[in-house]
Amino acid sequence: MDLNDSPSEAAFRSELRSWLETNAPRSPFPSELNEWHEATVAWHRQIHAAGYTALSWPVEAGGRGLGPIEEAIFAQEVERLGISSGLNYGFVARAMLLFATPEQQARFLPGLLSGDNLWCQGFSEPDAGSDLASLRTRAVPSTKVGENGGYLVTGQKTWTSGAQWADYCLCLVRTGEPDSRHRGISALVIDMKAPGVEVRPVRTIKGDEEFCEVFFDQTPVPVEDLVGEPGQGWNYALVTLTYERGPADIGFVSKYQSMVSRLRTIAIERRLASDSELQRTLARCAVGVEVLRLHVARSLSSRIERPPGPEGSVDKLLMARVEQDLLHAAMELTGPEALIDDKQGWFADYLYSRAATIYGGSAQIQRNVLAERCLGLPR
Amino acid sequence: MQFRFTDEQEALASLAQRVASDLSTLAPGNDVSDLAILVETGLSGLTISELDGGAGATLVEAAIVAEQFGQALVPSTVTGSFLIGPAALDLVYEKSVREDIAVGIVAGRPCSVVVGEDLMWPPKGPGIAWGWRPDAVVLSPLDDGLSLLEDPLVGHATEDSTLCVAPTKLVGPPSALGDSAEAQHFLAVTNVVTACLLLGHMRATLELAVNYAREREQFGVKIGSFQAVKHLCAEMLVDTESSHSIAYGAAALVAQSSDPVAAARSAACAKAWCGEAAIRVCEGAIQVHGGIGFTWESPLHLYLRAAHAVRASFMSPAAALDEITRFDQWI
Repeated sequence: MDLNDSPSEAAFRSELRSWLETNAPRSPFPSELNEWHEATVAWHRQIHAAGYTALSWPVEAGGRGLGPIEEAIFAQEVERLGISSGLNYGFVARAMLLFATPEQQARFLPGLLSGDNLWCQGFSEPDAGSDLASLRTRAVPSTKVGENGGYLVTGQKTWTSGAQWADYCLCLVRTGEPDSRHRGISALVIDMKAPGVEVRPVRTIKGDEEFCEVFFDQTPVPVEDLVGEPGQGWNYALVTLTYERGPADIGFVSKYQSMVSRLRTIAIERRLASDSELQRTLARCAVGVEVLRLHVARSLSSRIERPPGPEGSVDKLLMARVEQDLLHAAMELTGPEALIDDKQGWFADYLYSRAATIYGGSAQIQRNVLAERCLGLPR
Repeated sequence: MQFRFTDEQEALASLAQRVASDLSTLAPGNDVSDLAILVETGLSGLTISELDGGAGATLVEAAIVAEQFGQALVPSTVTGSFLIGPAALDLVYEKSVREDIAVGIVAGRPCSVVVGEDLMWPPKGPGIAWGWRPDAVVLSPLDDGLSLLEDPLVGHATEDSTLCVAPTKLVGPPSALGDSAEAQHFLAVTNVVTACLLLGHMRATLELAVNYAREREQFGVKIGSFQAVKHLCAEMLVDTESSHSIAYGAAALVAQSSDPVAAARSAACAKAWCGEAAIRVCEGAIQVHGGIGFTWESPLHLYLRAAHAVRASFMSPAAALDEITRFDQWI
């Protein structure tokens, strides 16, 4: 047990800090969605150029060959400054790294890592949310596609983050019989500019259009863009869902820490600082954040020895608990004012926190995973 | 950064588990007043300095033993004397007294620390004597330190095997523990040790609940196949694993001692979190057991009683929250 940085971790942190000092954006990103997106992409490209993307990837795959801890240090140091750690490409890239052919990796990975190409992930459908294995978007083999044949894709994806900006979609489609469940699913890289692709933004609970519905109508996909083997799509889904709640989570710890101290400042400004009930509410939030910080540290340590497993659902549920408690406290403190004039974004953050128990596998699904795969309760 | 146990620490956990089964209040045949096994295995002097004949181990090792003792419901005569007592020695200012007590602890002599939930003596509310028994050395707060309570039998303490601690009405001169660096460290240690005892209660009751849910049949199926039961158990697992992270994380930070204030804050977080989580997990296990959990046929009530006693001892979760508010220099 040693929670201090090792000498090499400390060296990485200090190198990173001095780079951030001269290069990090001075002001927070704009809140308007498209402007925010542009700022994020520009920042991501800057991060990539400096060699801070794919930190835990092997050098030959375009990474730095470091560990999950350096990746977490990066997220932590960047989020500490109140800015994002770049494009959230990690889980798509990880699936491509693990399952794509060398040719596909050579074609797609450089642009995916650098942010020159933008990606989205086509998983959920209107009738396939938690029950992802029931997805119905069909990929029908066709000789008329490309030079070597391929598929014609027809169907609908939904809640697809960033589809309005994406160049490519890593998409799960049904290549098997309609009732083939998880056995008949394949993963395709779909060019978002291909014929028959239509993107319609969806207004989220916050009021912005962060994610979209994506429609495919006889969209041609050449066979070269099938990732790995047909029928292996379910494995990709499991891997990306595991990594979606992965090491980058620690960046959230810095975000939550700064939220707690901002709430404390508001309480002092409003002369509510001696309200002992409020003090305990905020102290309880601070406790949750400290618990999450040390829990993530422990998960990162175990990830050095083995890839993340079903116990990652503990991290996900804990993170959601901490975030939602924190935003409840924020609503209690800011009261109706945040509803009327949400200058500091607390109401928007509160609304967004409802997603913490829904995205990347809902809390109900996470609990099933823990009960069945960690505790061994019968299915 | 490394958040995992060494091979030696894993071996210590197995040893502590073996010792705990001999000192468990759950097994009717055990004589929990016979502390010889602690001396034989070296656990009595685990965190006593090597100069005084102990093993000089850190708080992480004490935490590992505490989790095992909490799992087996080892009484506070043991946990108080050998896990909390050694940490209290820094607060005993008379050198000769301190050395005598240290050597006594290594030799298996019980040492009780009596302090109220408000860290005052006598406490405003009821106090709990950790490690009290008639032959114990009794330490209580005096003049910003701890001193021997000369006549501990003034008033009375009763051993209650269902609580694993002795509720007490001992009296003595009024005094507080003070806020010296030594006192802060002592409180950090008590927060970590009690958090780990509570973690042990959580591990044990979660295991009982999961085993029961796998075996018990109703409506022709194992009750563990119902989502209502699964989700309750899953939340108990989140409580238990997060408690492990904060309790051992805080133990490592206190042991590292590079930033004592931040470490003491983490230790207070551990007590605040585990104090609440343990009650949820014990109550959850009773819920999974249904009627059986409500009776003395099941040991669950013993864990729930112990959890309430440990939770309220030294620093309650509410007191820990107030401590964190002070650490964060608010107001």
